[in-house]
Parts: sequence; structure tokens; C-alpha cells
Amino acid sequence: MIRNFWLGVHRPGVTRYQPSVADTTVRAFLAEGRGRLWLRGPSGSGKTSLRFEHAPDVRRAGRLCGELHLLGHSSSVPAETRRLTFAVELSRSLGLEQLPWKDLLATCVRERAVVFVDEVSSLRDRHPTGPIRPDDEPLLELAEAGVDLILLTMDEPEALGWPRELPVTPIWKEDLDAAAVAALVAPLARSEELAAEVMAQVGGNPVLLQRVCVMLLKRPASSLADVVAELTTDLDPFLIEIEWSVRTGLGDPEARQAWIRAIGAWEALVESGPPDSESPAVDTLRRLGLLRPGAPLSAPPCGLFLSRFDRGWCRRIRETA
Amino acid sequence: MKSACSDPHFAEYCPDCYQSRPEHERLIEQWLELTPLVAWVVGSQGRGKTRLLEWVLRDRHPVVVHCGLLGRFRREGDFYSHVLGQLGQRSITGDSLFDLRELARRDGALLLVVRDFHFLHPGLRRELMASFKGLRESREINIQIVGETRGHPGAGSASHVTSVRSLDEAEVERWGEHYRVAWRPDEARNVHRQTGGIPALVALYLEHRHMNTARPQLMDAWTRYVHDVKEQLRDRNQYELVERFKADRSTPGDVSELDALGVVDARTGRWACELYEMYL
Repeated sequence: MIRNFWLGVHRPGVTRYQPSVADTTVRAFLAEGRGRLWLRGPSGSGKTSLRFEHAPDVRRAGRLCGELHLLGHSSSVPAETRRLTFAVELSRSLGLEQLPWKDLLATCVRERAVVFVDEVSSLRDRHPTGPIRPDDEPLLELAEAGVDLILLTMDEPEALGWPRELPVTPIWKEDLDAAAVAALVAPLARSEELAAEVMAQVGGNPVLLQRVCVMLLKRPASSLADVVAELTTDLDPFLIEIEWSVRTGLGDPEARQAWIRAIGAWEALVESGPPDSESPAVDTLRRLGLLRPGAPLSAPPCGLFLSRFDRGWCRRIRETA
Repeated sequence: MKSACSDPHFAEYCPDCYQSRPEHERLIEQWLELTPLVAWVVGSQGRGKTRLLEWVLRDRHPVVVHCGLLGRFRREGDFYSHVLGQLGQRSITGDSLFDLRELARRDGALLLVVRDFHFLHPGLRRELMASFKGLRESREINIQIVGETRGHPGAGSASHVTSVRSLDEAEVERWGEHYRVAWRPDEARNVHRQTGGIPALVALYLEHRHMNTARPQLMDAWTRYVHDVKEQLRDRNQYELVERFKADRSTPGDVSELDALGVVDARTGRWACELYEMYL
């Protein structure tokens, strides 16, 4: 019986990782791929969990493997300083003694090192004015030197000012089909019907899938409706995080108008169904995770979001913005 | 009890005077088992954020950053440079965040208390929330950040947050028992009505009651507290929100902001306490 599993939430040693198509893509890249693998998913979609899952395996297999988290680096220092600190972090992460930057790049290429890079979207804050240049961004320099990179991002590379790239793999658990979800909730009665209902409520969102399944398993007497009601009215950290992202955006004078448009687009969707065409507002909703990345616009958002972020919520957030 | 903290502002608290908030204390103690950690205590003015943290962290040697003093700071580099300064260090590489990470790696545990986060410039708050998230997810760094703020800290913060609120009537009564107050009939109810259960105002009442001081002295202490709140609102150009509320011209946004400031209860649309209604 599966009682503990994890999707999108880092709990190594505590809960079980639930693989998806993105994991298969990562394994294929690690086995044969060269260059860069872009994995795109909104906040809470399991990017960091994927890094935590695979990086130790790569090291155990004897391959040089590094992990970089771009948010841990200051966004407001000169390129030369960034290169210096980047080299220290990367050398340490690879388990190498500290090398000069050029030597480090050469070693990475020669040894076929692979580097997981988390929070690549923070490049947008670091280079707000336009395309990234290698002499201004050590990560791009690393890429252009031919180091194998697995880049975890919320945005398309082009939106970050990164040169055009190969297709980006979305991280989402759409591929986690009803049978797999039924296996997760197998101890419960009507598990197959329940699995379909769970998928309609969570829409493949990894964090919500975990939350709902764990709550159902812990309290078998509760119905799915009870669980959804509890998640939408209680202080669930993931749902609060989405609300705070919106409030943070609305509180930022530079981003405020874009966020107001995004709330308007969500309200229109809640009232009259999916939008007809892509727009920057729709893109904001995708980054936030309210709309599924990579899915057609006609795909309905998850029921739980529609319950939690309903018309009343849209009205309140607009009034208090 | 003498505090072990080097920061003179991280005042020592007498165990006889501290009013326990057990549910919050337990939660924060549990969080402090984790590294790296980024945790938040959220609550309006006077709800006891500072006292709670000072009590829980009294023997842990925190580095304390008073954001109210950093109003001119705009970039995260300024903030981390200030933190390094608190530790008696300077940036070696020119990237203060990197240097702080290195320091935490080399010297072991670093506990940082970020007080009054809401006073920082919004752009800086956003940058810091992003870098805090980076620190939280870098598994090898032995750093803990515990912040206190009035409104929501911002995106990237939700996993470890506790909200301290005003006391209900039963809690006011319990606090009185801590001061060995023999409550008179309806006394606790009246105190709750006047103070709205705002812990700072309740504590003032109990201290005066304990010392058997005369009523005018208590009123003087209460009005001075409210006056301080008023001055702070004026200093930050927020008093016009209060004026609009008094004139019954508040927008829902005003009420929400006044709620975050702890002056109004947005659920009822009323003043947070009678003392604010009378003296603010």
C-alpha cells in the first residue's frame, strides 16, 4: 500500500518519489544526450524535487555532477564577481578543488560533467533589459563551452533572453494517468472512479495531487468533497503561496498592471470558460500554475483552483489591491 | 533571565513577565530543528511577534537585523552587507550574499532574526524573498532565518508561517492569572473590550493592575501607546487611512490595509479596540 509518496515536494527519506515523463526524459538525456535539457514547469510542479531525485543517482554512477541554485546568488553584482562566485560554487558542487574559471570549464567538458541548474527563471531579474551575453552571464558561458546542463525553469528560454533552444519539456504530471492515480488511492473504496475525480480536481498539479491523496488515505471516512472543501478554506501553504505571489505582484508598481490583467483573465475564465487566445496575461497564469503549462487553452483548469480562487476571491483581490 | 544574545536591542525578558503563547512557541521550536530554514511570524502591531521571538530564541545567539533602520536600502547586496557587518565581517568577493553563505559553511550555524521586514522597500523585499528561497533550497548551508512582519512576507514564504493574533477573552483571563490577578466580575470582559485583546495593551493593563497603580496612570500608559501608533502611522503617511475610516469614507482596500496595520478588524469592519476608536 502506498501511504507516502511525493510529487513536487522535497521529502527525501520520508516519502516516495513518483516519477513521470519528465524523469524518463532526464534519464535519456543523462544516458545519451549532450548539450542542454530544458525542463519547464510552474511553481510547485516538481522541478527541485526532480533535481534532488536524480543528482545523487548521477554521482553514484560515477559521473561528475553539479547542482546550482541561481536564487542563492546575488542578482546585483558585476559579472566578474558573479563568475568568481559561480566558479567557487560549481567547483564545490562537483567535488573539485577550486579551479580558475577557464580550467573549470575545460574540466567539465573533458569529464562530461552534468550540472543541474535550478531557478533559471531568476535570469529574468538579473538581465531585465535584453538578451543575455556570455561575457555577462557565467551560466551562458558554461552552456556555450559545451557543458551538459539540465535547466529547470518557469519560463521559455527566449523569455529569459537566452538564445533560441530546442523544444522545452514541460514538467507536469498529465502523464500520470487515472490508473496510476487509482494505484495511489487503491486502499480506498471505488478507487478507479475516485482517481478520475481526483484528477479532475487537481488537474495533474503535483503538489495538489499529493495533498489530496495523502488526506484521503489518512482519513478514509472523508469524501473527496470534504478534502477539497478543507483545502480550499483552510490555510494550505501551497494555495497561500499562489495568493501571495499574486499579492506580491500587485504590490510591485512595475508589475502591477500586468497582474491586474492576469486577474482579469482568470476572472473571465472562471465566469465564462477558457480564453480564445494566448496573451501575456494567460502566460502569467501559466507561470503561476493556475493554467497548465503546455496544455491547450481549452483544457479546463483544476477544479480545486476554481473553487479556491473563485469570483469572490477575484473581487476581493481587486478591491484590496 | 539574562539573554545570551550579543544584540543589546534583543532585550532580556523576565520569565515572570513573559506571557506564554504555547502553540506558537512549539511550532517555532519544531522549525528550529530544520536547516536551512526560512520562517515567518506574521501579525499586526502589538500582537506580540517580537516578544514571542525574543522568548523562543533567547538562548540561541541570533544575529538581529532591524529593518526599520534600513529604509534607504534598495538592493539585497546592501542588506547582506549589513548582516556581514553585524557579524563583524566585510565582503571579500563583492557579493555579500555569497560571502554570508561561505561564512555559514565555514563557521557553522547562523541564526538570523529579521525584525520588521515590512519596513523594507517593496523591491528589496521581493529580492530578499527570492534569495531566501535560494538559501532554503541549498541543502548544505547551515543557516536559519526567522523573520517578523505585519503583512504577508511575500511569494516564496508560505511553508513556515505562523500568525499571532489578538487574544480572546479566555486568553486575557489566563494572562491575568499569570500575573496572579484576582479578576473581579466582568473585569476580564471589560479589559478585552477596551483593548480588543491586543497583547501589548493587555500586558500594560496587567502590569499596572499587578503593581496596584491608579487608573489615571494606566490610562496614561494606554494613551501613550496609542499615541505611538498614531505617530508611526503619520511618519509613514498612513494616517490618512485612519482619517478616511473615521469619516466613513474608507474603500475596501483602505480597510484591508488598516487590518494589516492592526488598527481595524476587516471581518467586522470595526476598530480593533475601543482605545483606538477613542484616541487614534
